[in-house]
Amino acid sequence: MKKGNKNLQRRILALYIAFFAAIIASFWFGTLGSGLAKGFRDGYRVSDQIVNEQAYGNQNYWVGVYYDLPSADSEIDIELNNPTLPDGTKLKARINRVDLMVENNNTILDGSLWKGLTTLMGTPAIFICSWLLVIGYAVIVVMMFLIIRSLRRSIKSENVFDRKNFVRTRIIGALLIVCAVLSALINYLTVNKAAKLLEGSAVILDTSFSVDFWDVLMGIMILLIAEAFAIGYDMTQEQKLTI
Amino acid sequence: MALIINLDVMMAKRKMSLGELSERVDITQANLSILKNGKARAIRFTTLEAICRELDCQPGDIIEYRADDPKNE
Repeated sequence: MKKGNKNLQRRILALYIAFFAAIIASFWFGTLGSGLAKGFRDGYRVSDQIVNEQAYGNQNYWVGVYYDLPSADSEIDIELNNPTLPDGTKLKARINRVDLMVENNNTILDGSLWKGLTTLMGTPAIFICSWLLVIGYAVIVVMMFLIIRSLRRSIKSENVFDRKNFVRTRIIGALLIVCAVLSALINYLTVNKAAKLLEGSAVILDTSFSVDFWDVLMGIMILLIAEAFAIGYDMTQEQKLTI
Repeated sequence: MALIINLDVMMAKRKMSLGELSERVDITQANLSILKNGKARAIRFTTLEAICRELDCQPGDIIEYRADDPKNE
Protein backbone atom coordinates (compact mmCIF):
# COMPACT_ATOMS: atom_id res chain seq x y z
CA MET A 1 0.00 0.00 0.00
CA LYS A 2 1.24 3.49 -0.90
CA LYS A 3 2.25 5.96 1.85
CA GLY A 4 -0.46 8.43 0.78
CA ASN A 5 -3.05 5.66 1.05
CA LYS A 6 -1.86 4.80 4.55
CA ASN A 7 -2.36 8.40 5.64
CA LEU A 8 -5.79 8.43 4.01
CA GLN A 9 -6.65 5.18 5.80
CA ARG A 10 -5.65 6.73 9.12
CA ARG A 11 -7.77 9.81 8.45
CA ILE A 12 -10.77 7.64 7.53
CA LEU A 13 -10.22 5.55 10.68
CA ALA A 14 -10.18 8.76 12.75
CA LEU A 15 -13.46 9.82 11.08
CA TYR A 16 -14.88 6.36 11.76
CA ILE A 17 -14.08 6.66 15.46
CA ALA A 18 -15.30 10.29 15.59
CA PHE A 19 -18.58 9.24 13.93
CA PHE A 20 -19.36 6.67 16.63
CA ALA A 21 -18.12 8.98 19.38
CA ALA A 22 -20.46 11.71 18.09
CA ILE A 23 -23.41 9.29 17.96
CA ILE A 24 -22.75 8.09 21.52
CA ALA A 25 -22.21 11.68 22.77
CA SER A 26 -25.37 13.00 21.10
CA PHE A 27 -27.35 10.07 22.49
CA TRP A 28 -25.91 10.52 25.96
CA PHE A 29 -26.10 14.32 26.23
CA GLY A 30 -28.98 15.04 23.85
CA THR A 31 -31.35 12.15 24.46
CA LEU A 32 -30.38 10.46 27.72
CA GLY A 33 -29.01 13.61 29.31
CA SER A 34 -31.96 15.94 28.88
CA GLY A 35 -34.72 14.78 26.52
CA LEU A 36 -35.11 11.22 27.73
CA ALA A 37 -34.65 12.17 31.38
CA LYS A 38 -37.33 14.86 31.04
CA GLY A 39 -39.60 12.49 29.08
CA PHE A 40 -39.07 9.75 31.65
CA ARG A 41 -39.82 12.13 34.53
CA ASP A 42 -42.96 13.51 32.86
CA GLY A 43 -44.04 10.07 31.65
CA TYR A 44 -43.72 8.72 35.19
CA ARG A 45 -45.74 11.63 36.58
CA VAL A 46 -48.45 11.31 33.90
CA SER A 47 -48.76 7.54 34.22
CA ASP A 48 -48.96 7.93 37.99
CA GLN A 49 -51.76 10.45 37.49
CA ILE A 50 -53.62 8.07 35.11
CA VAL A 51 -53.27 5.14 37.54
CA ASN A 52 -54.62 7.31 40.38
CA GLU A 53 -57.60 8.46 38.29
CA GLN A 54 -58.35 4.89 37.24
CA ALA A 55 -58.11 3.75 40.85
CA TYR A 56 -60.92 6.23 41.58
CA GLY A 57 -63.03 4.64 38.82
CA ASN A 58 -62.32 7.12 36.03
CA GLN A 59 -61.47 4.46 33.43
CA ASN A 60 -61.45 6.80 30.40
CA TYR A 61 -59.00 9.36 31.76
CA TRP A 62 -55.91 10.17 29.66
CA VAL A 63 -53.25 12.85 29.45
CA GLY A 64 -51.31 14.10 26.43
CA VAL A 65 -48.35 16.49 26.40
CA TYR A 66 -47.22 18.96 23.73
CA TYR A 67 -43.52 19.53 24.30
CA ASP A 68 -41.43 22.62 23.67
CA LEU A 69 -43.92 24.84 21.83
CA PRO A 70 -42.49 28.18 20.61
CA SER A 71 -44.17 31.21 22.18
CA ALA A 72 -44.54 34.20 19.84
CA ASP A 73 -45.50 37.06 22.08
CA SER A 74 -45.97 36.31 25.72
CA GLU A 75 -48.42 38.34 27.71
CA ILE A 76 -47.37 36.58 30.84
CA ASP A 77 -44.06 38.12 31.82
CA ILE A 78 -43.31 37.10 35.38
CA GLU A 79 -41.84 39.62 37.78
CA LEU A 80 -39.27 38.14 40.10
CA ASN A 81 -38.06 39.44 43.41
CA ASN A 82 -34.48 39.28 44.52
CA PRO A 83 -33.81 41.23 47.72
CA THR A 84 -30.04 41.12 47.19
CA LEU A 85 -30.28 43.32 44.06
CA PRO A 86 -29.88 47.12 44.36
CA ASP A 87 -33.01 49.27 44.68
CA GLY A 88 -34.80 50.06 41.43
CA THR A 89 -33.65 46.85 39.73
CA LYS A 90 -36.46 44.73 38.31
CA LEU A 91 -36.28 41.15 37.07
CA LYS A 92 -38.76 39.91 34.47
CA ALA A 93 -38.88 36.35 33.14
CA ARG A 94 -40.35 35.96 29.68
CA ILE A 95 -41.76 32.60 28.56
CA ASN A 96 -40.33 31.57 25.21
CA ARG A 97 -41.03 27.83 25.18
CA VAL A 98 -44.15 26.14 26.55
CA ASP A 99 -45.01 22.55 27.51
CA LEU A 100 -48.76 22.04 27.28
CA MET A 101 -50.53 19.20 29.08
CA VAL A 102 -53.95 18.10 27.84
CA GLU A 103 -56.15 16.14 30.23
CA ASN A 104 -59.39 14.52 29.17
CA ASN A 105 -61.96 12.27 30.80
CA ASN A 106 -62.66 10.85 27.35
CA THR A 107 -66.42 10.74 27.79
CA ILE A 108 -67.07 12.18 24.30
CA LEU A 109 -64.33 10.16 22.64
CA ASP A 110 -65.91 6.71 23.32
CA GLY A 111 -62.86 5.51 25.24
CA SER A 112 -60.75 5.33 22.07
CA LEU A 113 -57.17 6.46 22.73
CA TRP A 114 -56.50 6.93 19.00
CA LYS A 115 -59.60 9.09 18.65
CA GLY A 116 -58.52 11.08 21.70
CA LEU A 117 -55.00 11.56 20.39
CA THR A 118 -56.13 12.63 16.92
CA THR A 119 -58.88 14.93 18.19
CA LEU A 120 -56.98 16.79 20.89
CA MET A 121 -53.31 16.02 20.25
CA GLY A 122 -53.04 16.29 16.49
CA THR A 123 -54.06 14.77 13.22
CA PRO A 124 -53.04 11.38 11.77
CA ALA A 125 -50.73 13.38 9.44
CA ILE A 126 -48.64 14.49 12.44
CA PHE A 127 -48.13 10.91 13.60
CA ILE A 128 -47.29 9.69 10.09
CA CYS A 129 -44.84 12.59 9.53
CA SER A 130 -43.23 11.96 12.94
CA TRP A 131 -42.59 8.32 12.05
CA LEU A 132 -41.27 9.28 8.60
CA LEU A 133 -38.91 11.76 10.28
CA VAL A 134 -37.58 9.12 12.69
CA ILE A 135 -37.08 6.69 9.79
CA GLY A 136 -35.41 9.45 7.71
CA TYR A 137 -32.84 10.28 10.42
CA ALA A 138 -32.23 6.56 11.09
CA VAL A 139 -31.52 6.02 7.36
CA ILE A 140 -29.10 8.99 7.40
CA VAL A 141 -27.12 7.50 10.31
CA VAL A 142 -27.03 4.04 8.66
CA MET A 143 -25.95 5.55 5.31
CA MET A 144 -23.16 7.53 7.01
CA PHE A 145 -21.93 4.34 8.68
CA LEU A 146 -22.07 2.45 5.34
CA ILE A 147 -20.20 5.24 3.49
CA ILE A 148 -17.35 5.39 5.99
CA ARG A 149 -17.06 1.57 5.99
CA SER A 150 -17.20 1.44 2.20
CA LEU A 151 -14.60 4.26 1.91
CA ARG A 152 -12.20 2.30 4.11
CA ARG A 153 -12.69 -0.81 1.97
CA SER A 154 -12.42 1.02 -1.34
CA ILE A 155 -9.18 2.74 -0.28
CA LYS A 156 -7.75 -0.68 0.59
CA SER A 157 -8.73 -1.98 -2.86
CA GLU A 158 -7.52 1.32 -4.43
CA ASN A 159 -10.94 2.08 -5.90
CA VAL A 160 -12.11 5.17 -3.99
CA PHE A 161 -14.58 6.48 -6.57
CA ASP A 162 -17.08 3.69 -6.16
CA ARG A 163 -20.59 4.16 -7.53
CA LYS A 164 -22.13 3.11 -4.18
CA ASN A 165 -20.28 5.90 -2.35
CA PHE A 166 -21.71 8.78 -4.34
CA VAL A 167 -25.20 7.26 -4.53
CA ARG A 168 -25.27 6.99 -0.72
CA THR A 169 -23.90 10.53 -0.33
CA ARG A 170 -26.67 11.80 -2.61
CA ILE A 171 -29.26 9.93 -0.48
CA ILE A 172 -27.89 11.56 2.72
CA GLY A 173 -28.05 15.05 1.17
CA ALA A 174 -31.58 14.57 -0.14
CA LEU A 175 -32.77 13.02 3.14
CA LEU A 176 -31.33 15.91 5.18
CA ILE A 177 -33.37 18.38 3.13
CA VAL A 178 -36.51 16.20 3.29
CA CYS A 179 -36.11 15.75 7.08
CA ALA A 180 -35.67 19.51 7.61
CA VAL A 181 -38.90 20.22 5.71
CA LEU A 182 -40.72 17.32 7.41
CA SER A 183 -39.60 18.51 10.84
CA ALA A 184 -40.85 22.03 10.05
CA LEU A 185 -44.16 20.56 8.84
CA ILE A 186 -44.61 18.54 12.06
CA ASN A 187 -43.83 21.61 14.16
CA TYR A 188 -46.25 23.68 12.10
CA LEU A 189 -49.10 21.14 12.43
CA THR A 190 -48.46 20.54 16.14
CA VAL A 191 -48.16 24.22 17.06
CA ASN A 192 -51.32 25.08 15.11
CA LYS A 193 -53.23 22.31 16.87
CA ALA A 194 -51.99 23.51 20.25
CA ALA A 195 -52.70 27.15 19.32
CA LYS A 196 -56.36 26.25 18.75
CA LEU A 197 -56.50 24.74 22.25
CA LEU A 198 -54.91 27.90 23.67
CA GLU A 199 -57.24 30.34 21.89
CA GLY A 200 -58.34 33.10 24.23
CA SER A 201 -55.62 32.41 26.76
CA ALA A 202 -52.61 34.59 27.63
CA VAL A 203 -50.19 32.27 25.82
CA ILE A 204 -49.74 33.09 22.14
CA LEU A 205 -47.82 30.54 20.10
CA ASP A 206 -45.63 31.18 17.08
CA THR A 207 -47.62 29.40 14.35
CA SER A 208 -45.41 30.37 11.41
CA PHE A 209 -43.89 27.74 9.12
CA SER A 210 -40.16 27.92 9.79
CA VAL A 211 -37.64 25.56 8.21
CA ASP A 212 -34.20 24.98 9.75
CA PHE A 213 -32.18 26.39 6.86
CA TRP A 214 -28.92 25.22 8.39
CA ASP A 215 -30.01 21.59 7.74
CA VAL A 216 -31.10 22.53 4.21
CA LEU A 217 -27.70 24.17 3.55
CA MET A 218 -25.92 21.11 4.91
CA GLY A 219 -28.03 18.93 2.61
CA ILE A 220 -27.13 21.08 -0.42
CA MET A 221 -23.43 20.96 0.54
CA ILE A 222 -23.57 17.16 0.81
CA LEU A 223 -25.32 16.97 -2.59
CA LEU A 224 -22.48 19.08 -4.05
CA ILE A 225 -19.90 16.72 -2.52
CA ALA A 226 -21.84 13.79 -4.02
CA GLU A 227 -21.62 15.45 -7.45
CA ALA A 228 -17.83 15.82 -7.00
CA PHE A 229 -17.73 12.08 -6.21
CA ALA A 230 -19.81 11.40 -9.35
CA ILE A 231 -17.32 13.38 -11.49
CA GLY A 232 -14.47 11.40 -9.89
CA TYR A 233 -16.32 8.15 -10.69
CA ASP A 234 -16.78 9.21 -14.34
CA MET A 235 -13.09 10.11 -14.65
CA THR A 236 -12.07 6.75 -13.16
CA GLN A 237 -14.33 4.95 -15.63
CA GLU A 238 -12.83 7.00 -18.47
CA GLN A 239 -9.35 6.07 -17.35
CA LYS A 240 -10.28 2.40 -16.95
CA LEU A 241 -11.77 2.26 -20.45
CA THR A 242 -8.76 3.93 -22.09
CA ILE A 243 -6.80 1.11 -23.64
CA MET B 1 -21.59 4.59 -31.81
CA ALA B 2 -20.34 5.82 -35.17
CA LEU B 3 -16.86 4.30 -34.71
CA ILE B 4 -16.66 0.59 -35.54
CA ILE B 5 -13.74 -1.48 -34.25
CA ASN B 6 -12.68 -4.15 -36.75
CA LEU B 7 -9.99 -5.66 -34.56
CA ASP B 8 -11.57 -9.13 -34.68
CA VAL B 9 -11.65 -9.01 -38.52
CA MET B 10 -7.95 -8.11 -38.70
CA MET B 11 -7.08 -10.76 -36.11
CA ALA B 12 -8.96 -13.38 -38.13
CA LYS B 13 -7.19 -12.25 -41.35
CA ARG B 14 -3.80 -12.61 -39.63
CA LYS B 15 -4.95 -15.82 -37.87
CA MET B 16 -3.92 -14.41 -34.53
CA SER B 17 -5.65 -15.20 -31.23
CA LEU B 18 -6.57 -12.61 -28.58
CA GLY B 19 -4.07 -14.13 -26.15
CA GLU B 20 -1.22 -14.01 -28.65
CA LEU B 21 -1.94 -10.40 -29.66
CA SER B 22 -2.25 -9.28 -26.05
CA GLU B 23 1.15 -10.83 -25.30
CA ARG B 24 2.77 -9.17 -28.32
CA VAL B 25 1.20 -5.75 -27.64
CA ASP B 26 1.82 -6.09 -23.92
CA ILE B 27 -1.68 -5.29 -22.67
CA THR B 28 -4.01 -7.54 -20.73
CA GLN B 29 -6.48 -9.83 -22.51
CA ALA B 30 -9.30 -8.14 -20.58
CA ASN B 31 -8.35 -4.71 -21.94
CA LEU B 32 -7.88 -6.01 -25.47
CA SER B 33 -11.29 -7.65 -25.21
CA ILE B 34 -12.83 -4.28 -24.15
CA LEU B 35 -11.29 -2.73 -27.26
CA LYS B 36 -12.38 -5.60 -29.54
CA ASN B 37 -15.99 -5.42 -28.31
CA GLY B 38 -16.21 -1.67 -28.88
CA LYS B 39 -16.60 -0.91 -25.14
CA ALA B 40 -13.46 1.26 -24.91
CA ARG B 41 -13.88 5.03 -24.57
CA ALA B 42 -10.40 5.94 -25.83
CA ILE B 43 -7.25 4.35 -27.25
CA ARG B 44 -3.66 5.49 -26.67
CA PHE B 45 -1.48 6.17 -29.70
CA THR B 46 1.13 3.77 -28.26
CA THR B 47 -1.46 0.96 -28.08
CA LEU B 48 -2.73 1.67 -31.60
CA GLU B 49 0.84 1.78 -32.92
CA ALA B 50 1.66 -1.58 -31.28
CA ILE B 51 -1.49 -3.24 -32.64
CA CYS B 52 -0.82 -1.90 -36.16
CA ARG B 53 2.79 -3.13 -35.95
CA GLU B 54 1.81 -6.64 -34.82
CA LEU B 55 -1.10 -7.00 -37.26
CA ASP B 56 0.80 -5.27 -40.06
CA CYS B 57 -2.07 -2.93 -40.90
CA GLN B 58 -3.14 0.74 -40.86
CA PRO B 59 -5.21 2.41 -38.07
CA GLY B 60 -8.05 2.72 -40.58
CA ASP B 61 -8.15 -1.09 -40.91
CA ILE B 62 -8.97 -1.33 -37.18
CA ILE B 63 -11.12 1.76 -36.65
CA GLU B 64 -13.81 2.64 -39.15
CA TYR B 65 -16.20 5.60 -39.12
CA ARG B 66 -19.77 4.83 -40.11
CA ALA B 67 -22.35 7.62 -39.77
CA ASP B 68 -25.22 6.75 -37.45
CA ASP B 69 -28.58 6.17 -39.12
CA PRO B 70 -30.79 9.05 -37.87
CA LYS B 71 -33.83 6.70 -37.99
CA ASN B 72 -32.18 4.44 -35.40
CA GLU B 73 -31.36 7.30 -33.00
